[in-house]
Amino acid sequence: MNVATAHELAWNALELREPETLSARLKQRGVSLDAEEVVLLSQLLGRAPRWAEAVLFGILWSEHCSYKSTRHLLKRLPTAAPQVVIGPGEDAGVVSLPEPCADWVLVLGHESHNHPSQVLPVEGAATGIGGIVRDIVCMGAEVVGVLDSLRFGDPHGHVQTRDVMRGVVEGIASYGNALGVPNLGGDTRFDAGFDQNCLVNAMAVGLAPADGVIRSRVPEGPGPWHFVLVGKPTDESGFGGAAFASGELGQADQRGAVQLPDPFLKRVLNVATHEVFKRVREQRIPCGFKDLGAGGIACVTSELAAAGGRGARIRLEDAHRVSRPLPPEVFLCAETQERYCWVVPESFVAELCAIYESEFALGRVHAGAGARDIGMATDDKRYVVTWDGEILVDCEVDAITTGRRIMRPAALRARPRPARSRRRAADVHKVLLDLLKGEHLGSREYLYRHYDSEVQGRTWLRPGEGDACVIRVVPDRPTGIAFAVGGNPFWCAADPSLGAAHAVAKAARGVAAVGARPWALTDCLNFGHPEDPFVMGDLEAAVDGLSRAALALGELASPGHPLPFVSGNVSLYNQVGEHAIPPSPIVMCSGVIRDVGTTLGQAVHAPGHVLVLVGEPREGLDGSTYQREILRERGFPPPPLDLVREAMLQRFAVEVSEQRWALAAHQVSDGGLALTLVEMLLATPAESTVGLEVNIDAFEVDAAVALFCERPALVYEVGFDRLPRFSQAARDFGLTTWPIGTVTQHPGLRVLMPVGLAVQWTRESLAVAADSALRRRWNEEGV
Amino acid sequence: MSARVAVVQFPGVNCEAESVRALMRAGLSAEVFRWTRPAAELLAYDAYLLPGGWSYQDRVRAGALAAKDPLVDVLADVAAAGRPIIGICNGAQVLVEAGLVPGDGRVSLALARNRMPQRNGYYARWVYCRIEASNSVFTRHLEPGMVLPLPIAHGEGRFTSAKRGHVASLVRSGQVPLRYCTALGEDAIEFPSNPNGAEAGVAAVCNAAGNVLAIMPHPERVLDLGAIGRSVGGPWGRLRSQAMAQNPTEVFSDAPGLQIFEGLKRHLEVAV
Amino acid sequence: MNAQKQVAQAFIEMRASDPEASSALSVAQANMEAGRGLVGMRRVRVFELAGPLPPHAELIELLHRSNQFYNPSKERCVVRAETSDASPCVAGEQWVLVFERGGERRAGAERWWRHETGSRIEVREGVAWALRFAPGVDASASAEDITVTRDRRHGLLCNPNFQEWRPAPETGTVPMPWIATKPISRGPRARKGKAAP
Repeated sequence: MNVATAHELAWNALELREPETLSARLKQRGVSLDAEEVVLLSQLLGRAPRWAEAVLFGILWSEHCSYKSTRHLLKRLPTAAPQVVIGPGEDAGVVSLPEPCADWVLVLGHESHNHPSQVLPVEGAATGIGGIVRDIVCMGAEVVGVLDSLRFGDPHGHVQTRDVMRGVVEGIASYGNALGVPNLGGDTRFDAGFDQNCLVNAMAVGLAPADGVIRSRVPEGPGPWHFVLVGKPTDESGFGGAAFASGELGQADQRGAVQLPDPFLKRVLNVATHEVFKRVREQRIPCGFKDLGAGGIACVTSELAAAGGRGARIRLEDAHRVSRPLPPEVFLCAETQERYCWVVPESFVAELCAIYESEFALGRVHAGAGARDIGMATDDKRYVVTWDGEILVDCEVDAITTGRRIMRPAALRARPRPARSRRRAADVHKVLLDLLKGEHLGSREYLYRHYDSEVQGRTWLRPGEGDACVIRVVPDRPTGIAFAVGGNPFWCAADPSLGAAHAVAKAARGVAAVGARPWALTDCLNFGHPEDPFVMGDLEAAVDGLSRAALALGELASPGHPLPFVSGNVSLYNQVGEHAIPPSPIVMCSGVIRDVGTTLGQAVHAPGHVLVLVGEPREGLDGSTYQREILRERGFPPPPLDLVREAMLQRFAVEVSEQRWALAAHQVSDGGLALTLVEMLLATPAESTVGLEVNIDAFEVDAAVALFCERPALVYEVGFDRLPRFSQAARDFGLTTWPIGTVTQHPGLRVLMPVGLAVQWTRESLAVAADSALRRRWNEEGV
Repeated sequence: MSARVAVVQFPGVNCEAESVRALMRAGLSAEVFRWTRPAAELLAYDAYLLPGGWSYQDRVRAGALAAKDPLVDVLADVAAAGRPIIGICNGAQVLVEAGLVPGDGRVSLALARNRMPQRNGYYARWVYCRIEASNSVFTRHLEPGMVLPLPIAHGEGRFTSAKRGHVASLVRSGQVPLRYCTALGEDAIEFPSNPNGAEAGVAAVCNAAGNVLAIMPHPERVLDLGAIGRSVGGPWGRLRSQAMAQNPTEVFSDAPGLQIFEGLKRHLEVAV
Repeated sequence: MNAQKQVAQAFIEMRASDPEASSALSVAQANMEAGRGLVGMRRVRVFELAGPLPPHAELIELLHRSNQFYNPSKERCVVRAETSDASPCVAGEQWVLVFERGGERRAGAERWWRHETGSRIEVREGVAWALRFAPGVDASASAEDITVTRDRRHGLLCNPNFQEWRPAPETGTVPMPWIATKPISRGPRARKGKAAP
């Protein structure tokens, strides 16, 4: 293999006789094609590929781009429901909204940026946000929110784990804040299983006019259609990013494969792009639009052509790039950030370029940024790229879209029966404070104060204010949209199927608790090596669990239909050596609330109101944080999940909000009832003098079970006048209600225990404990 | 015809849409004025708003590059002629770096990096601000002592000066229309009531004539009572709770931040 | 172990063109009086390390390894451990250091260093601007005019209300240490009649 230039053939017939050796030599030069793929590519083209083609197919067939190990599994997820406009397959999913916002659609995307964030936390997390934001914009939408699900290693361990945490938060903040997109929450969890592979899942949501969704393809009709590349000049940054995300993190310095974020350029680029959206809608110009990600110019142009059933002729030399020399295959495939590609009729090209280059003066914002006509769509279904007359790529478009499949063996992991420690912690007072001081249940406020949650002026309920964040669709209409996430790594490690079902249920319950109807799901499946049959077994089980829950919880959006998955992502190779991360399906649920005025937050309002628990609090401590952290019993499965009852609970929750029967709602999840009550108390204004008093005697169980059981449930603050209707409705839904206490005038939490004992905590002591967990780790205290 | 306000959009600014919306809700007409337009066209407006964001990516220093922009030369002229200008967050940084606040053209203040115990950089939260006696056109319709809850979201919001006693003298001369305070309206001595370490808890500074205001909190972000931060207590928190419990349409009544734009509207009704 | 205090400087510069420096240059040239004599500007982040430091090669490796100092895929780093070592300052350039008063220490970097090496050192960071003027321009006076912000026409790189600035005593040189020294006592020059209209 003595290839010097991009248009020379990558291998000869002699070399092809030993595909294993060839594959290894390709890998040394940064091209990931396994032995089977080397042969396949030769067959597909009917000849040896040119070097640029080998690079391109190496990217196209990477796990990151092709989902080659998981595509067959993903088909098991329910994706169809009447509200779905565009399901999985495009850059983002699209769902319709009900009246009075039926003229808008909601655009949803979910991505991971795990490997880059481990290697370069600030840039990795920032480009994670940048990438998912582009996925939303390229559907013709305005991005109105981002969420992030973060998994970090043991925060008491190596300083690098905390550096990753600090860097990731800084990266999300620096990019999202500067871009002007509000952060709508997410979750943060810690486990030693993420020490060497943090997870950064970024979700983004957008709004587009219902008739303004733009597809990622060459439109129908004669055209002639031109490809126009806009944004940052191409450089070598991020070259090899897809291969990087499709392999194990190694010893070599991989920082060069992480892309460089530029939220400033992105902001101006997006503002200019919205001006283009306006023009093409006004003038009814058909067009296609797609963002550049892995595979750069090659992937974006070939996929736009292939999706439209066309071919393309791309003149690479016409694209804008940095002034220093770039090898053509790098120019063709680099993952330079902040770029989009338009396909527009010839008659619109000049106006399009003028919007970016003159009206918004992109070149003044970033040297060399602009808009260039780089080629045309053709009718011959051939994809051809030239570089100053030399052919770099010439193949059937279908070859590019021919997905690569690998059937990986899957096996069920034997899970050792966890051992009971027989420990019992008697001092409930100390236990609660200890749990609050720990990283699992401590407040996340220290982190989310880094994020702007209110830019754009749509925000109604912010992180920490309720079980979901809520924004308005249009400022003068009452419709709101709500977002919440789910995914418990401990539960998924013990039982990936049930853990995954819980992830869906938790996200949907969060949305329902604030009063919104669960409307659509997105997910990311974060796992270890797909070559490991047990990892594939975990993955299959997780997909089954996701499906089961989604099938049961679609009623509130469309009776008789599942809650649809509309977009998703798979991230494999989150593993170093033998250490795979815990199976981590992470789910976001979006919901629709009819009138934001009925949104229920978690802060209680006024003394005299009744606290009502809806659910069954006597199910034992298996799977609970209390069991893991206090009893030191690990590996227990999650509490059971009755999906029929769960659906009833969510329907009831929406009814409560719509009928205005309650003033506050908060779900029982991590940390159990005790944590729910603490959070309802601490969410009230700091200077407020309300407190909570509850009596757990009626449960007739051990106090620890009553307070720390994590079986899903909801706690409501209900006024006396509404209590009869509230309770009757619960009975109608077949749900058990427990009036457990009242809001009082004594700032603090008081729990009346069995045998007439009482335990109480001042608000101050709870607040100090909850605040200390992340603040201390962040500042390297007591680690 | 209602008075026209230009919302001046430097590249990197990102609060222009909600700024336009807030001005319109107050009954003014408003439009985004993009940085690529000729500066002289700014003269056609009655008032100006410099919105929040990251003008020129905060290169060199927040607000520093935009402060040298030819658009700001025009703003300096119209400021001297008495037309109202409000800079919010990044807009406030531009006005301070341009010497339009506290006035006379000299840069005598800085909006420095926040100083917070055990925290660095950007910080976003709802805070309380107290109206002070001043002749700012944006607040002089409000009673001194009134408490406005407002959101902050910035990394460089600490009003300070190299000249010892300068900030205190601005307070005395009525050029500080808003100061951070507790929910009860007491002086904000330390974090978190004073969220960024600003000298004398200063949240906003105006010029001596009162027509130019640099304000760090974001009055434009929340326009409906029901949307104010749930952590907000005091009279506004009680109003919101009552609205949610008893009067569904009240949740869409005016949020506290709109008072600032109401002040502008009243001023323009007389001035224009 | 050698516990003697030592000082080293690390100069970090973008590999690609630096948008911050090019924006500063074009704004200074277009809108500032002293900017008319300015022909070039570079921005160099400066770290100053003080304490028991390892040999030069190891120092370079440590700085390269940590994300606390720079990203080798987008920036390059020149280390100066002795006054006699070369700095990236080119003949004719007037260097000016700017840093936040009381905000120059980098706790995260110091923490990382202690973890990796067991040594406690002090890490300070500032920004150096390398200014190049047309022949015949008084570099020292113009540098002050470009640096110290007084009004819309004068000063850009430092707002003295919260930042310190320290010019190199002559062109083509970089003092060492630079950040950790006490400010050079020089009273502001008389600037009467130069405030913006």
